Amino acid sequence: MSRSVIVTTPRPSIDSLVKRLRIPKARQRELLAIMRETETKAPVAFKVKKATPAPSSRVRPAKAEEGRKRAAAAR
Amino acid sequence: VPQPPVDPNAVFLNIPYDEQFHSLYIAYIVGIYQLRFVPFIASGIPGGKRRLDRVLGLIKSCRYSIHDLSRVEVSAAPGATPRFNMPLELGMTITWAELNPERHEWFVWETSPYRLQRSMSDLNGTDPNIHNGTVEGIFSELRSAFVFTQTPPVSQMVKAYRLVESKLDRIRSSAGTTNLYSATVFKELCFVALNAVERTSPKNKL
Repeated sequence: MSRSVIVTTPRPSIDSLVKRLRIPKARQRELLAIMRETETKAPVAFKVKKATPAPSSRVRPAKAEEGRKRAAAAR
Repeated sequence: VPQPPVDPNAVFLNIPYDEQFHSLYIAYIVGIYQLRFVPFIASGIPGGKRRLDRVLGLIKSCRYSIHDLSRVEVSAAPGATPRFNMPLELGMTITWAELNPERHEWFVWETSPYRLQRSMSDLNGTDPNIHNGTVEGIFSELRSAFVFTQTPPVSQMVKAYRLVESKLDRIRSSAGTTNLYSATVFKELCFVALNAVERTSPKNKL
């Protein structure tokens, strides 16, 4: 059986306990801002990939040029 | 010799100042504020006085003291030195309370039931509060040590603790230090603990 005491004195308010700490107002605001920060991470901005054309519709510039030359020679 | 006035809500925490104790340290601060007491630690008192004078001043002005002996052990550093600070401060407190029984109440806290009998057999007959080295254990023992008509449940205390713990890295980095026991950081931890208590116990009047 551990020791215990019966506390009958009135309990102080949280506000009065905060005042006792005498932390500068500016620092209090900083700490409150930290406490208010949410745990969830900021949403990730998804990069939209440019649609890649299907292999069949791809036109390779070099090959296209070669085709044009071949067609001109045939004419 | 006139004695300093006793703060009826002040609790002097005689605890180890090391990194392994961080979670229990935060639990003490949160739990003590949950009961609307005010925690004090020797390193939390600013000023140039030597440590022993600061400790004695705290013992005299605090109505209660908690002496956590759970980490009284031989240090791991080469040269293995036992840690005597906490037993020394407990000895000072016992003397003060014997001479002024109406001014001070002290508690010994341990991690396991029979460790105290082995480490300090002179205290046989003193029932330590056993916290099992856990945050929940600290809260549970605080509730049994300080009896009110209405005390917050352990689950509510744990909620407030988790809130403070989740902000620890941010608090540390904004304070620019890793030492949670310095006077400034201790005060700031007290502030955020009070904020967490308020946020997790909306209408908790003791």
